[in-house]
Amino acid sequence: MTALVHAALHNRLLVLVLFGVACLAGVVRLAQLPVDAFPDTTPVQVQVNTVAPALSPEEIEQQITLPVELSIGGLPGLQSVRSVSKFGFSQVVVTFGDEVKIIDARQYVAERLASVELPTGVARPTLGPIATGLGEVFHYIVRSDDPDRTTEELRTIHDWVIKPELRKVAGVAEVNSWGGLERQFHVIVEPDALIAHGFTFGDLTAALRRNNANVGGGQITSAGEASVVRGIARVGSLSEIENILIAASDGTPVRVRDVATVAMGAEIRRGAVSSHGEGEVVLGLAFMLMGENSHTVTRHLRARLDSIRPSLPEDLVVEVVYDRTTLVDQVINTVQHNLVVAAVLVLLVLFALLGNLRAGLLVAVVIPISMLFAVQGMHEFAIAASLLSLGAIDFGILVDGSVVMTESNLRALRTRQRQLGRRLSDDERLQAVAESSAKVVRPIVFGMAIITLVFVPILTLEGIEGKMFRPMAWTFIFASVGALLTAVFLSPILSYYLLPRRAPRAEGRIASLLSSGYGRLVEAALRRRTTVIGSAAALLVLALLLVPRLGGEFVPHLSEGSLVANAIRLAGVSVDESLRSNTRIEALLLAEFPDEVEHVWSRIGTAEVATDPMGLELTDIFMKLRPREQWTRAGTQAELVTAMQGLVAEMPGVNIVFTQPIEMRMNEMVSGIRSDVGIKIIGDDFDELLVLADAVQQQLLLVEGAQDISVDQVTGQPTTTVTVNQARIGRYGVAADEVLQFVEAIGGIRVGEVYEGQRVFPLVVRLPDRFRKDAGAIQAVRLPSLSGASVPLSALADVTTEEAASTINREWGRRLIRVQTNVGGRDPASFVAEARARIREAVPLPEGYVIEWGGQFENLRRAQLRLAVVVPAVLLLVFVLLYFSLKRLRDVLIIYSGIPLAAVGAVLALWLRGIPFSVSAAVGFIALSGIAVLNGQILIEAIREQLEAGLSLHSSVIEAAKTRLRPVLATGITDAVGFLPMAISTGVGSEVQRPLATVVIGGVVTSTVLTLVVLPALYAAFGRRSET
Amino acid sequence: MMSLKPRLFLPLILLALLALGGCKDRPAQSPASSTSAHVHDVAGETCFIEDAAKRDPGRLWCKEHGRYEDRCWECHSELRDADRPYCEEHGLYEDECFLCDPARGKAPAAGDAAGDAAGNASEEVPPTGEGGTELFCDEHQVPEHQCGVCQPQLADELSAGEALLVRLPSMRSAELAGLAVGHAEESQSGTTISLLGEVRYDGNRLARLTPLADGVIAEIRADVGQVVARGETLAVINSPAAAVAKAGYRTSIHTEQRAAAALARSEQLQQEDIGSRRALEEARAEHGSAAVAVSLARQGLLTLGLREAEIDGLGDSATSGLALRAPFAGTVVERNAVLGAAVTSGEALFEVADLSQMWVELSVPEEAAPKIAVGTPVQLRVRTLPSDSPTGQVTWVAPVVDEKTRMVRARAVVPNPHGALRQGMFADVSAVLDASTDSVLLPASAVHRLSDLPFVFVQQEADLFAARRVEVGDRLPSDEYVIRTGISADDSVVLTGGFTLKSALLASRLGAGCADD
Repeated sequence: MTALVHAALHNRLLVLVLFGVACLAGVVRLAQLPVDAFPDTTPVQVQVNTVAPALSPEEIEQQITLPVELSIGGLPGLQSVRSVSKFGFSQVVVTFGDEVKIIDARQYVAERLASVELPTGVARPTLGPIATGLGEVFHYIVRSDDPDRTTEELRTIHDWVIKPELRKVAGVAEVNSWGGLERQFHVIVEPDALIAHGFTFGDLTAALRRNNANVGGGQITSAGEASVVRGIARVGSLSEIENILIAASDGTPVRVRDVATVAMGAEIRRGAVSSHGEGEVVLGLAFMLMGENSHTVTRHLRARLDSIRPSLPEDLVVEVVYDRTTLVDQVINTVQHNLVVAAVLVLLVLFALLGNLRAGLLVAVVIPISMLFAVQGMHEFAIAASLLSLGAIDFGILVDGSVVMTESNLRALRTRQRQLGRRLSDDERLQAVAESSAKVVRPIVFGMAIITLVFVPILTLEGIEGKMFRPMAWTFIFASVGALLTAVFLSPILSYYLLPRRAPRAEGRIASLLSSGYGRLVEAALRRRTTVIGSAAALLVLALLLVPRLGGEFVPHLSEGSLVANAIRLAGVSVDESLRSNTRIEALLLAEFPDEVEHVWSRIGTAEVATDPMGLELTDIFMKLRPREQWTRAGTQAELVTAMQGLVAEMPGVNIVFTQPIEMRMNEMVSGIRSDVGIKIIGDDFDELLVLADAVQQQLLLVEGAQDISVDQVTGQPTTTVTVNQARIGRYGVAADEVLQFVEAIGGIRVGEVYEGQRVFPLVVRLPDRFRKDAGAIQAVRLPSLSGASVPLSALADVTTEEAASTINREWGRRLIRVQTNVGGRDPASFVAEARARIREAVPLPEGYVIEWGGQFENLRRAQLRLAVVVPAVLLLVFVLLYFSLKRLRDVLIIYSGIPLAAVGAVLALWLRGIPFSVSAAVGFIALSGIAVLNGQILIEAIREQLEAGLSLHSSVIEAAKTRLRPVLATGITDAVGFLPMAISTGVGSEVQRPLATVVIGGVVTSTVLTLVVLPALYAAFGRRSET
Repeated sequence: MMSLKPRLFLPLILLALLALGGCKDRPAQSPASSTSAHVHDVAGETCFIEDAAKRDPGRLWCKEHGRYEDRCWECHSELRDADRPYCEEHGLYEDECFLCDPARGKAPAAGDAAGDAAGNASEEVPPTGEGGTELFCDEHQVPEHQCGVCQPQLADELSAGEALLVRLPSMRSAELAGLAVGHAEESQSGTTISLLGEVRYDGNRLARLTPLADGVIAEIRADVGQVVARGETLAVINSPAAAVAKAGYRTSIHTEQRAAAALARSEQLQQEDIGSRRALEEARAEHGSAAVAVSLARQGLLTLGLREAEIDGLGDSATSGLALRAPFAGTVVERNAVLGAAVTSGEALFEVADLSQMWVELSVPEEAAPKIAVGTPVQLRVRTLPSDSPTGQVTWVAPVVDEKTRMVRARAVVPNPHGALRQGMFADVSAVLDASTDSVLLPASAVHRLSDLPFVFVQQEADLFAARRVEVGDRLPSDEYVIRTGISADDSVVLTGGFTLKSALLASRLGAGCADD
């Protein structure tokens, strides 16, 4: 190592050029670095959506979900198959292990789907867009100033003008339409008219199908000229449809208009959107392709939207309500602000402690260089620049190596100059720098290696926590490698060139004051070492006592600058009722929070591309918040949510839960369970599942700490069932099919398409509105049948109305119901253990029924288990490293005593700030243990140096402590100061960094103080015996 | 969340004694036995602990502790009267606990307490059932047994007119939710069933006119749609047969006249004793048969459609014209006749119908047939005439069930003064089954279903609504329901936004239920 330093010093130009090239590469990469707000925690997932507008949940489950699920099985890397069957659509979510590439996963699924046979009339299953939970980057509202403009027209303009344009933008995976009415051509048939003419539904649909097609007829060649033949019979207008001939009845031709009214209509609605308390609008959603740069994509989308504005009708307003760029910019601002402030603070501290501006600047050089190294590494490993990846960088820690190196060089140069009493020649300078560098290079490399090494456990995290914190660990490792290289190779060179040639006569006043004061302190500590060690132990005990009072959470919630209120209504609510209620909620929120809410819009049910399977009873009310400076009703987002909760609680008949857009998507995609603890009861019969869920809920109520218990709303959908009576239809000679056609026609039988220029709209045969209002009308209707009998439906089938399934959730092909609960005021693990025992005792499971446990607590437990194994392993590794470095077990043990002492400060800091323990805090503890070890190591090395120089133990300790005061203090203070902006920042997205930074600052403070006071005492107490 | 206002405590003593007096332990036998192991020293029919049917239906029962909920101090320790010593062992107040002191539980204490309680109850607390007092739901400020939010399942057992209460979260909740309140409309209506009908011409007022002799149409005087008077000539047919018949008639008249003359002559001769008696007899017979021939020929002409006067007016010129006449006043609804067409007898040339009243052929499902009888009033609604709803009466119910359609045919006669009803129209027919009664009308949007039972929400206070069970009659074409009982015109009924209240009532399904589960 010494040789390396020497080599570097001798090839100064080469080293400088190499660093220059590396930095230049970093600068280039910086421009290409993908930027996002948060790391993407979405698993490798393929959504299979199938739409069948009129089918009830149970039919969807049997006819669509089941075959799709069956086809997917035995795929490589398959982790889970979940499904949701709702009114009108089915979604199967296939999750793969992270080792499978998304494109491969989609390929596997698509291959299997190709062979799935579905009932006729059902659209083919489609794969969801190649987007992640972060993919919904752009929401815009299409509305009109013209009150006469219908939502159907808005939807048509969106689907056929705006959407195709936006889809062209690079990096857009899909543009989704939500709300409005989807245009259809309706043939509204009167059953009585059919009877009068002696036709059946089949005759009408067949006639419509037969008379609406174009064909190709090849070519006609004559005289060397080929003419293409087309056969045209497509209908394009209402009157053309009206004039389609069904057949002759008693010699008179009967046309469609004789038995039906043809009109423009709209598809059965599965979703709707309203905004700003002003009623219905159409919402467009742009999804970003996986791995794209959201900043670029949204900027391009905005530009494209502006460019098509002139081509839209004048009354049309397209308003961007949500744009991920805003959030990303805010987050990046927070990060930048923190980094810049941290850099300045570190510089100031360095200047103060080193007493030399040049030295301070020289050390500070490491900051940009290591950053550029990190950027280079992030680019290679495809890590996006985000809050977490960049937010973890503590310049204080990064500069440690250079601080030690430069301080050593500075001291060596001064000492040498004082010894010689004159200015040093270049050779002498070089020699002095080389010698002093060689002395500290080993501890620096060891120290930086240790700090880097302690981040390794984070790399082993799995699942969400892994995806969240691994980028942070990698970025830190890259940066610290850069910092290490800079410290070892660049710093000596820069020291040689840049450190002052004239030595000040004496040490800086601050430094000397500190030094003398500290000397007395250490001596006192050595005299009363039992007291010192005892009180340190007492502090440790105090901290241990505080630990259970911290509380725990998995990952801190990030403020996204937007809110989502999930409104849950009674199953079976109609679109109109939902719209009415949402509009009132929107108006209320806008009226009460005019300074906080910028945009508010509600998404009911499901979009065209059902990425998020919601029933009509579910609404997401989105709120784009104004910048926090403008707020008058609340200071923080949490306060705002509390105020809003209080307000919406007054709204009767709707249950509203607040969350945030990204958070919501992530939860939905990852597990479908949003709470701490989710109990999945798996079985086949819904009634039985409901009974079990109820029993489980009752037991949970008895467990202390259960909060927000909720059971899936799986039933309650009023369902009118027409059950064909085979015996009776046999007697009348009517085929069941004829009854079923009637039932289908209530919703609509699709019989083809109508082309309006380039636009295609479905052609649908359906019954008049009165059949969709009243079950009585259905019973009384007389059915036209082939046999000529026109019998009322009630004579052929039993019509019953009852509450049936509203949502059918399945996992691995079995039905399930989920009971979810949050855990308040106690440790989730013990909660789960108690609840498990209670439920096992009190809820007997029928044969074939299974209870599974899952939820956020599982993630936390998984992370804890993982860290519980890996952290000690790494600490052991560091221990071994130190042992090889120091060759004395006792010294290493004394150094390790710094870790619990650092933890004391961390726990106290968390407790003082009221921050619960989380994975984020755990990461802080890990970093902290590295810093603590480094501090101890510097001191121990110095003591040993003095001992080797032949001093007594007592004076060795004091002397070493005095000489190493400055580096220890410098590294300690820079570490703390480097994280200070993160700890106090309240910017958007600062929530994740806060625990981490708090832990590090608190820990570093105690660690430094204790290292400087307790460690000498410890060494004096336990180091002596080894002396003899 | 159940609690009792402190002032309600005294009446509870009465309850305590009722409970214990009605079903008490046998103190002498097992003074120290726990309540769970007691034997009820009463006749089986009075012990409401053993027999759920004996319990006061207005009070909630605590299954766990085998007593009324409002007396269950185990579940509701907040109900305990802090001033009275409580026996933890037996879950009773010390001064009532005859398990600890068998001397208690006898009449004197009961008398005192009952007297006290009765006095208090009449002053302060509305007693329910057998002198019990109401438990109060503190969360929703309504009596516990009416608290719909806490006990939505109680809705299943309500009868018409009874209600559960729904307390909204705040005074302005109703306004926030946009609830609109209005009053029901009074009306008269009876029970009806709806049937399908098809309008037909009145079969008794329908004539299909056919010439009775072959011929050629010579003249047409009426067209389709023309209103004709009785006896009006619609067409004239040149029929050789008619000519022959007319000629025959004339001939027979002449023959008869001749025979009459011959008879007269013979009689003359006989009187003068000139003629033979035989000749007279012959002449008489001749004349008789000639007269018969005349009336036969006349009958033949009548059969061909000629009228008496016409026949009398027949001259010797035997025209072949045969008039086709309207048998009654009506409208020509069909005409097959064209000028010059050769027609054969029996071929229908005109249909004349009297449109002033029509038949409605009803298809009555087998099950409903017994309810329909001759005289049952019916009301028609035809899709093309939404504003018009003519009424009529059933005049005939078929004695058979149609083999093919499994329907019983019936017929109603409906006046059709403006001719709006047309043959072949389909009609929705409401048959009124019983006499009309007082009822109210509510828009369909005001009527909600809980467990498939109809409910209407009535506003009682700004934030208090009652989900009232009603009896619903027909759904009218105007999208209104007939409400037979449960609502009066004075009630402030929630007309729009009732779904919100239904959701509030069933809030537990949304995961936001009553705090006291």
